[in-house]
Amino acid sequence: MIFWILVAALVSLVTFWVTRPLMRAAPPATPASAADIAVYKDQLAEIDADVARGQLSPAEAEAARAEVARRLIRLPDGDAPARDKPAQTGRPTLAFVVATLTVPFLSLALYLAYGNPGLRDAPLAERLATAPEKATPADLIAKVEARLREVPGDGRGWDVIAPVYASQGRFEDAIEAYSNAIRILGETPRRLEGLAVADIRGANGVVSKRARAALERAKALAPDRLELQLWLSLAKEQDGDVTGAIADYKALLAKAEKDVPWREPVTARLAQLEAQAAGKSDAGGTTPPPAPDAGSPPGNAPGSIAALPAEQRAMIDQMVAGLADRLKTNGNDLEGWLKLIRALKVLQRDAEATTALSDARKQFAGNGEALEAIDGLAKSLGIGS
Amino acid sequence: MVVELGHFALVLALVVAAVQMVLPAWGARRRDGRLMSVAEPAAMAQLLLLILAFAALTHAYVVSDFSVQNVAANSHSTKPLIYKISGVWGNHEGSMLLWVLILALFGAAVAAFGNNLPATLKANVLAVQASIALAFLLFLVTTSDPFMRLDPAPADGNGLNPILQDPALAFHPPFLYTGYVGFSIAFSFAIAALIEGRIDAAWARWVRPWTLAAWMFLTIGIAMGSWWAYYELGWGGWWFWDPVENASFMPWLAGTALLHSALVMEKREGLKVWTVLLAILTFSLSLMGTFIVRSGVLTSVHAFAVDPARGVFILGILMLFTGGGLAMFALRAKELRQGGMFAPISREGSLVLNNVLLVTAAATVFVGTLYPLALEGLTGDKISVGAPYFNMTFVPLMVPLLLALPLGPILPWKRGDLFAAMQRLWFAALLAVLAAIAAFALSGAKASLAPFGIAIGVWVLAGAIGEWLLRIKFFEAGREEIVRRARNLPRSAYGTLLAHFGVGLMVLGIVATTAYREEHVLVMKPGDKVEAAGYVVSFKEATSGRGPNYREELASFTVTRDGAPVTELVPSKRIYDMPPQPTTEAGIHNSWRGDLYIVIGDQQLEGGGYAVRVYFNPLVRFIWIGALIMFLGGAASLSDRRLRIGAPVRRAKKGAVPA
Repeated sequence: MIFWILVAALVSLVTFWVTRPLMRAAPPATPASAADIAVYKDQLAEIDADVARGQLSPAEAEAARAEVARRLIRLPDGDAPARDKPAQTGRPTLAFVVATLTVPFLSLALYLAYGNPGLRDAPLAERLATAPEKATPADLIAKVEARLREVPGDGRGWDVIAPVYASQGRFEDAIEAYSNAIRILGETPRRLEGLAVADIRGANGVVSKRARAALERAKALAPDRLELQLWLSLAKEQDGDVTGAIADYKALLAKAEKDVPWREPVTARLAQLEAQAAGKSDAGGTTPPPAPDAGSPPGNAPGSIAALPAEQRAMIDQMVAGLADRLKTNGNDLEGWLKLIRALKVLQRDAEATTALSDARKQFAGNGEALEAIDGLAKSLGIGS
Repeated sequence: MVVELGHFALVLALVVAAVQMVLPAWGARRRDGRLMSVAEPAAMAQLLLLILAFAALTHAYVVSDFSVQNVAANSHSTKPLIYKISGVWGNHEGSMLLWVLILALFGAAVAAFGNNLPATLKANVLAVQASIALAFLLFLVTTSDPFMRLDPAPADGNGLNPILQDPALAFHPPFLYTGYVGFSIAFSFAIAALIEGRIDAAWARWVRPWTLAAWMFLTIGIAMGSWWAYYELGWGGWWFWDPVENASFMPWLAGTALLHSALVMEKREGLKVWTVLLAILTFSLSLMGTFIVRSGVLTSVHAFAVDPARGVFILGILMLFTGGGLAMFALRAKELRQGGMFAPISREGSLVLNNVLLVTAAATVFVGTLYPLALEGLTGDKISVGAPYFNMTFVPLMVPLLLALPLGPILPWKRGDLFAAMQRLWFAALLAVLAAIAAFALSGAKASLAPFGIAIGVWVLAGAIGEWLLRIKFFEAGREEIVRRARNLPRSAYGTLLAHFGVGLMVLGIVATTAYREEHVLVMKPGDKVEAAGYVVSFKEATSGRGPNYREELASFTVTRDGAPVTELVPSKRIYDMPPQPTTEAGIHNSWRGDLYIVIGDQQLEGGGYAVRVYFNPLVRFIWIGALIMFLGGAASLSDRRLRIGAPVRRAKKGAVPA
């Protein structure tokens, strides 16, 4: 209600203000040349002032005066007949009525079309103060972070916030929080596993040395927790020990409860690995290459991308597009460029790879080291020049 | 409620702009004083309403009201207050709101201070100004609504692009926009003159100060952008011929030309028609700058709005005002009476040379900026036009301009003697030659053209001071006479001195930093040392830390010179929380000799060293100090009573003449 009162007040004020001149007496009309004459007279006065200050010699002043005088004389030669037309005197009633109606109605109509009347403001402080039970994770994070900035030795705070960070995809922060909690409160399987998982997910599934060490210490503390073994098996697989990984996965599936959430992905992965292992043992024989839908993992040869199922191909395309977008906004990432160029080439999108190559060269123009890396890649892929 | 009130004020401003466009123009045609005088309160009301809208949006940012889509998309609750405020214009919608606010500010200034303008001229100027405002308000309300709401409101915002979270960049857009938009006044005056078919004597008095004000802000705005790019982007360069930079540089070149032709017009009633054309072109280039940046035709660090619907709308606005303005010019220019005559060698002649060179320079930048876009649009080929093109085209145009610069102010109006003028500046020429010899002796044959560039810089500097010395009769008069003359010299003359001096400094800085820059790119581990330009830079340690909304890796370097400690530099790499983006913070040690500039890169996978880039940029500060002095020169000139908005009806004020 107050809103509409304010709107009404604003509209009436502005309408009155803007249309008032229409209903008042017209300002006195001055002849068109009056303003010009005034300017020239000013110029003459300025010339005198300049002479007084010694900026102009009397002779120069005389010449300048003569010129201004010539302009003055030239003035009323009727160069703008339209202006010397007699001024209108009647009240512009039509204009007044139209303006008085247009301003309020058009503004209201436009506002109703584009605005959200009645929608309240929602400043953050107010939202936090009035509804603590409805507070969102972001609000809670903000509160805990504020406390941790003050008391960085508060291990419980780190312990609480670490999994929240991880669930929000802020893996670097999660790693830092878990490390702090471990340092202050000591190692527990949960913290170590959290640290390792944040590390792995932050690295897009690669099990680093740090993650593996954490997992192994966690396993020593909680030998029965299958998930720890699962991650370690993944590490084994990444080390190239496919046979070991297959055995591990099989053992895990046998031990696990029926409804563990990871049963399905592990089963799928196991099938993939077995197919791969079978393929490898055949590789020396005369069997034809696998059919396009065989689901073999990507090799390094360009052709094999096409052999991937459509779903995975779409995912790869999406990742490449994401990388390209990121580089557009933040181009100062050499690794990213190299990755993009390589990926585009592997995807057989040669034209785009060439473009990316030239973009990268442009980006790092003047940076000899980076250019060398880029050129080296270009040569090895056989693109660009 | 505050948000919705702001939204309503924005819409109301649009309607008021429509009234301000129609009634006064109609009144000027019918010679109806009542209709014409609607323009003043309308311009004021428009300004107040836009202030209200802008304040409402700023309020939403400050209190983190994420129910406003624009706030949610561009702010974050943990962001420091200054960046909450600068976030208002750190995005497409908010920056366009700032644009129309500044436009309204200039319109209101004409309404408030224009009592001495002929009534029809004032009415037409404000009507044209309102038509620009109307076009941009329509654009804002229909395609880029800053008050779009979200219900329910999200928990927190997406944050501002971290490279924009920087003090220099926080205030770069307001200055730049004041420059861009300021040229709208010159444009409105030009169109009003074409509508009336005549140029009043008051016209010239008005156009110059407004152009000067716009030019000052554009100068400082561009300099701030360049300074920011220098220390924030971590490339150590200060100008990249990036299309977005060019977009602001073109109106600057044309505006500088306009400033000088308006001088001829004001003092000599010459170059009238040309000045009108230049006013139209300058504002058109400003609009094109807006189009290039706001439409997303380019994707670069500046382009934060990528939306074809908006691009087409702005293109429409651009074509309407540029095409409309040029068409008006073609139709009506012949009715304007040509001004005074002058010989080729004269002050006017030198200003014509200045104009020809500056406009040609603007044209080369125009081609270099738009040709790649046009080519990509037509054929899909991407080409890049970089520094080599501009070095080949732009620089050769600047050389004669700078060579002629000190001579112009020495030449008398109407007809002059070039040889006599050169004779009067013999000492400046001598200094320039000496500087070239010194530069050559110091640098050897390393950069063969650089001593020539240094000479040009010194020539401009010495010429600016020499002109002043000549005007105060330093070489002939007694001491009292000199002091009296120096004191009586109009402030506009000091403005010229400062502006030209600033140009000289800038040239020196540019030449020195381009030709004599030192660069070391290497991998360093704590304990490693590198020598650069007489400094010994040693890598002390790498640490990590946390700021209010980012985490950072810091590397500290101790800098010594001849064994004595100079400073400690701590360049860093930051990763912002929201949005998670990296930025580099260079460590810079300033001195008059030049800047030592260190950037830290990624940690190497093998060996644990860091990629480190160490630059020494000689005299690089002169570039921005030069721009600042140019700005001050503009301010000095603007403060000169005699250039102030001419006061045909208030002549009494002029009486205050120092004896």
